[in-house]
Amino acid sequence: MGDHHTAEACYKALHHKFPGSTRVKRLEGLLLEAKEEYDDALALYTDILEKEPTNLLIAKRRVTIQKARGETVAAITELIKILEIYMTDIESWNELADLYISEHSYEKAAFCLEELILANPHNYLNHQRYAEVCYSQGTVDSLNASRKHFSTALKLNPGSLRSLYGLHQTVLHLSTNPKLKGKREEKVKNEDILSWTSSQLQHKYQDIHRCSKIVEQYLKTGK
Amino acid sequence: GSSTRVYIMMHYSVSAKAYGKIIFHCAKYPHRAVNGVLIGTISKKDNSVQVQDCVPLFHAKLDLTPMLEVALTQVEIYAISKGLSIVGYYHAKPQLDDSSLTDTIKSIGSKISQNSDV
Repeated sequence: MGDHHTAEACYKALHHKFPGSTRVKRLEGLLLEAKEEYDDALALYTDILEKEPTNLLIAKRRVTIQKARGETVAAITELIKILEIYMTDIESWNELADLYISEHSYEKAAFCLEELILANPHNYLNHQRYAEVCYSQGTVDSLNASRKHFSTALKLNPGSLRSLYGLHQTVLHLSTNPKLKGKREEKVKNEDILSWTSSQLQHKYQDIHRCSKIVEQYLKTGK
Repeated sequence: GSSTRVYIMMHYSVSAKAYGKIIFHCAKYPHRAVNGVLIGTISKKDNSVQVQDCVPLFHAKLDLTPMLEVALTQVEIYAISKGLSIVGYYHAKPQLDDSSLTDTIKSIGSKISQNSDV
């Protein structure tokens, strides 16, 4: 971490042994990035990409530099280009979702997370993140979607406290905010879910004396 | 008639405990943005804010509402139980030299200030 000398020494040894290797060149790029010599790193990567236009790892390094420079919009554009070619690259979809979230483009972030759910429907994290993005959008439909996906996340991982809290907050909003009350009869009432989540939360904290009082009060608010 | 805006010069003090916690929070996640809530006391008669402690919140997905709402509610309850109140918000970015305010920071900050007296 910040030990450029050792890193340079390792790089030189590798370069000596494998002079033509792209992998080693990537390390050279990483060294430049670590020293914040971004223009030189970019030039190196552009050079590699001219010879190997399908090198995904190098293409991603370009995105990293843009992120490091705070050029979020440019990073998003670059990532979209990568995803047009590598549509199944999970890392890129994850990164793009994060970038969209930081720009408050929740709908676009939701789209990325939907791709992740499709690719990995059994990973509770994808459902949880998607639910949080839906919640942030704040409409009746998005809150209902949020409720569904927090529930799925909980089903896949019953230990996820974050999903439990998320479900609790979602049904709290749905059942108490008059603007959000849906017009159709629900199969499962929000109030019932709310009492379930409340009792679950109380149960989880009952042995942690320091926190249980705070959680008790938290559960009382907003009702 | 029109109302006049009065700008008062506030004096801030930060305890070593609060400061230390913030630095450790950043150091634990050097490659990420981190944020948290500042708690302490406000002294209206001499326009000063004493940041006595802080509660670190997140190191990922800072811009999403559900957990932030849960956290702010609980931190407020905790602060009150210690005779303190929420007096501020801290936010550190992964870029070392970037201390500009983003929309997220402004909206969380204004939400916190709306609910408190600061």
